Amino acid sequence: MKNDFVLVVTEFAKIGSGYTSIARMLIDVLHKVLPETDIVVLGLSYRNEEHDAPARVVAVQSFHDLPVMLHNIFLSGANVRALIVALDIPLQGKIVEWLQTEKSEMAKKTRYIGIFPLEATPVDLRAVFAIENMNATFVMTEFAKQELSLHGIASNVIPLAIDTEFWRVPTASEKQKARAKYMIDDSEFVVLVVADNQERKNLSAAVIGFSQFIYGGRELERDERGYATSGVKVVENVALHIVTRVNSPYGWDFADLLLRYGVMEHVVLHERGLPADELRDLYFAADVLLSTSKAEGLGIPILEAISCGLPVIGTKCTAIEEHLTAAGGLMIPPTVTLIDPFGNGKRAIVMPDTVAAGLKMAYNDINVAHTSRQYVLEKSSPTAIETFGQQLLEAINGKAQA
Amino acid sequence: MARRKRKHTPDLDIVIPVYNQPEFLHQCLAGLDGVEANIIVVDDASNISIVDAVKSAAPNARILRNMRNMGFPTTATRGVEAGHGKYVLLLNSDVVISAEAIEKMKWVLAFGRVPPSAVDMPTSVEIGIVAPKLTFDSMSPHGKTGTIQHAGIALNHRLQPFHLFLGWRADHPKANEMRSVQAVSGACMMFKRNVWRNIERDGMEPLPTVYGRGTYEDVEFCLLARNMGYRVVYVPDATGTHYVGASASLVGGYDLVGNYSIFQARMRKLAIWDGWYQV
Repeated sequence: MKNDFVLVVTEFAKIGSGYTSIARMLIDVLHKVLPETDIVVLGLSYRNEEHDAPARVVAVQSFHDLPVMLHNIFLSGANVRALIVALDIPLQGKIVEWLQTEKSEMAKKTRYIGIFPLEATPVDLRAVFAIENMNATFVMTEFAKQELSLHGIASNVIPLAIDTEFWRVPTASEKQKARAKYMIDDSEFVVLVVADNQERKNLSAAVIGFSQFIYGGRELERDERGYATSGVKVVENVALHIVTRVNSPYGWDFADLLLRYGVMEHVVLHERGLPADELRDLYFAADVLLSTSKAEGLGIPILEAISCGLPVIGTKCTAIEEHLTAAGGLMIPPTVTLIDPFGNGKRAIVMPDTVAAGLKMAYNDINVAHTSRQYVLEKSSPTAIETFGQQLLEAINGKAQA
Repeated sequence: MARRKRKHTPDLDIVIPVYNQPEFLHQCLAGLDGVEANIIVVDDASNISIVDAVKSAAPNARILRNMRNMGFPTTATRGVEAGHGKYVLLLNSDVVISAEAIEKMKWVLAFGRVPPSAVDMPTSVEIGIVAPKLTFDSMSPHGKTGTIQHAGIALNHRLQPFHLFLGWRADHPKANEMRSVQAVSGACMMFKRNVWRNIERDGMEPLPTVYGRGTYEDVEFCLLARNMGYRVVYVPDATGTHYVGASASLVGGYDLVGNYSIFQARMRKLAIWDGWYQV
């Protein structure tokens, strides 16, 4: 049993987490550049499910268990060649803080390599503190790299961790089969939203925008509860499928939202955590992906959609803008841009009427939202991955980033 | 004068605690056909007769019966104490394991050479306890048929025992390495009687009755054995199936929360966090 390893801390949930595909890419790349070195992963959300990653994955029940686990590892006598943390910046900040209290020699000499998204500017000072205490930094978009460089922080951009063989363009019969599975007829226009039920995703703009698209922006008659009772629809054969956390205690009450805007019979809610095959069938069945997020650090659903050849409508901001500028797609300009008072950075807010306008454009001519798969193929190409491997090796071995 | 032939006594005792579910017991005993062993069935005051199941499948087996329901640790202890074999196989009545698998385990126990692992104590040399790979029985509602139910037990950093590779496919390479583990399941574990005796000599109960109806006593047994210098080894080449739950002494149920609390307190100095070495 080798006692010399690279330690990775990341999400390793089987389904539902964007980090899992990044984690898997990271493990595969590490295994390639350091074939003789063990890889040990402390996997948040991991439940000991079967995996075939070339690594030992340990379940981390709660983020708060990490200090103890790291402490035990550093004291165990093992040689930890590097600690690679692929998590959001606030969590990395906490880990950096803990490590500063670690007295063991191993903790002091282990190189800390951070991989994280940057979803919005300006870069929070707490994030800068965390990043400055890392030995090497990897971000997920060119936008993030540029932003960090404004603060004098050098970083590299990781390749897109999209399995382009799995997330692929469906054949005609696969598309038909997927649509038949959800009983979608040929003429139905299907909008897909894949987003968590949280503030940043701006799902209300998606639902209300969809309502305005159906009713042509006209006022609806409502009852004493505020629920729509009638309205003249300008389009009938449309559907909105939303993959989300349906019953989040902090998010939208979807039943209320759908009734209020008279779209209950047009909306299908899918609970997040779908197996990959199921999710892919939704991409296959849909006509367009809609993202109304106020900010995105990476936007994996958008990348999956592009990889599946699905047209995309998205907010013109951060990572979404980066992807759609290169790959095509329809960008909706935000009506309001503000600095979030809770320290989350800029928020680009699209209003329902512009969402409705975007949907109408795509409904009339889907080509306006067309995306090119080539973008994803280039960003996840073997060359890109090899470059990442070299950069990672240099980071582990202590070479400064340019 | 003709010399009297010395009666051959098998060196293996198979102890099967049972509570109701005679159909499982019958299946378990039928699977042991061809095994050279003393079979001791300990009935934990079942309210359905298990006698016919035993007589039809293993007519030479001994049946002991508790006057009242005592729980797994007490029942299993009674069975072990009633035997004399050099090796003891503790077996749940809802486990089916073949003579061949039992022979493999016995061989490893007697002669096995397993490279040391990070969970072994520095002083550990002798293999004291072994256990096979168990997959879910086709009728089991607890897991997909043919996937792993048991491949050794590890402890996470909260000292919570968990089954390694639970639910993984049975032929997964990681689950098929013979290795030292901190503990194995009492559903099917074979040990040297000396391990049991040495723990008793130390003033400890090998299967502590403090756990009441059961749970955690098998893990504690393994940790106590390791503390004495024995190794606990998982033998993937020996395979069996496990229904899970059918052999439980169900009267009163299990107190998982309370027992975990007891286990943590008792074993915190003996248990080590080994989750990250194992999977």
